[in-house]
Amino acid sequence: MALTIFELGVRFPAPDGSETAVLHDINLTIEPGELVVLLGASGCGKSTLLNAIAGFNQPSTGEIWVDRRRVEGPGIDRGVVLQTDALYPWLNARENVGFGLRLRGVSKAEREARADEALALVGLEGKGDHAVWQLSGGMRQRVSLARALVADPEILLMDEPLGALDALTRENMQDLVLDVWQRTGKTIVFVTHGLDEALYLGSRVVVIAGRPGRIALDERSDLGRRALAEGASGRIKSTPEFAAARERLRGVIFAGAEQ
Amino acid sequence: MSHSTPIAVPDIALPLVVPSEGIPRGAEVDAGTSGSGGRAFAVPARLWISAATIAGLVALWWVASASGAVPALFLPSPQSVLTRLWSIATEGFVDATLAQHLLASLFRVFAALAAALIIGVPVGLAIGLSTVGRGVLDPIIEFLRPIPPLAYLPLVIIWAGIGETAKVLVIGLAMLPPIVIATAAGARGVERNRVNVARALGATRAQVLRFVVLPSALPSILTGTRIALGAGWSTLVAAELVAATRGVGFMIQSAANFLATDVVVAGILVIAAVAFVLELGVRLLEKALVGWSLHS
Repeated sequence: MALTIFELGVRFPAPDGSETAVLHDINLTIEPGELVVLLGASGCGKSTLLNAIAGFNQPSTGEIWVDRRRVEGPGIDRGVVLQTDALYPWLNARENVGFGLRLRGVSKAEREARADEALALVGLEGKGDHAVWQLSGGMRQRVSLARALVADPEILLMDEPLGALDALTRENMQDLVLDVWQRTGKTIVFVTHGLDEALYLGSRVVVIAGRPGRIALDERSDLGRRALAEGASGRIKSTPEFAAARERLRGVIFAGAEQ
Repeated sequence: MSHSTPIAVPDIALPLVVPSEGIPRGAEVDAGTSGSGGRAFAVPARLWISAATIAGLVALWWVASASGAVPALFLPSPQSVLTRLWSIATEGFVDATLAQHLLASLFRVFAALAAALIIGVPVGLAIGLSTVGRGVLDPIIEFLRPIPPLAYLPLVIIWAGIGETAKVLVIGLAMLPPIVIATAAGARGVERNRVNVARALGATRAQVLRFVVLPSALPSILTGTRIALGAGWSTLVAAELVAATRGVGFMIQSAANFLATDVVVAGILVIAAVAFVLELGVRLLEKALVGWSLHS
């Protein structure tokens, strides 16, 4: 399931009636099973790009293809996890996870079984009956991830999903993302402005910078895979190699922003 | 939190004695047994002050009538009103018992509420979700909203006659704007992300409406229902002024013709008590249906 973005441009109407270009000439091909991190400063257009892939907004120019299907709106081949969990507070955790199955008319028993499976995958065994308000921020994002996974999308789109969490919870969740990626083999596109997070998670890091946003850097990264081999430990973040990579990324982002 | 109460509820719409958060669980049960009162069973000071105020007003009423300062024709004594209330309940007044009057009034209000909900919720959704819907329907609702029901009562009678239909229609028209406006506000306030997530999970437009927009707007719709019940109940007396043979409003009106002031006062107390019970009922319904909105 390759994802192809071809000469994509997005312009938004400005208050004075003109148009502001947010993204310009984005070309990107994402292969199945990659964990691509879109990295950039706030306002660089990385979330706009993710929303375009999700089909939430229409690109002004260019095209997005998932295999041989052109993206024209949201679809179940692309699951989303957003920064605000957007859970449905009138449903409990299990019903939230099973929501996509309910839309497809899956029977209640099967829905519950598959929702419990997905909850176990994100480390929330036995929390199915909890109301949304009884869950912590980290747990909510786990439910949110399980909700996207249970619909079995080919591509998982994550828009700063850990941005609102405290530092320790975020580190745990980063390990969870790597774990889920490894176990499910999903293609993941992950938006963040965190340098550490990008280096730690990405099998490939794409830096978006400048106004309008362009791809300033696109390279493979094996730090995440190596962290996985070490048991997904955060220790790799304190190696000199990691620090050097981080400084290099920082340089690219700031150089891009000055253009 | 801001989205859970999209429209402001005027304080006067709420009964004075019940704090907006409801009577604390166990307060009435334990007030006597715990005496000094553990922290868990403490009755809020505001409740005591309100109770004392009501007791004071009743005492003042009693003194004014018992001392003869105000003639019984203008202000019958509390005990004569209570006695009268009992006789209306058991023997009746103008060919019907209190229960029959009440039932007639409640039927009108709830028939009107059902009609107002069936029409008002879809209209509110159309205003909240569609530009065309808003353009077409909003002026109509904004035109209807500020008109006192008494002003269009004569027109409704010309159109619908003096039967039950006209009464339900007038009450329903008074109930419609609060339900429409609350539903529209609730539908507009639905978080974009909640809708987007559903679309990414494959929801059709109808499914988004049913599974995301409606539940999201339900707290607001119930708030609108509460305000509408208040508006409908206050319109009741006006609607029953014309050619009714039963109803609490009709009972008060005919009592006034006979200068039976004790019946008038008893009727007013009944109307207040029913309004209080309706308010409490909707609050319980809110707790049962949209308890989740209290936590977000």
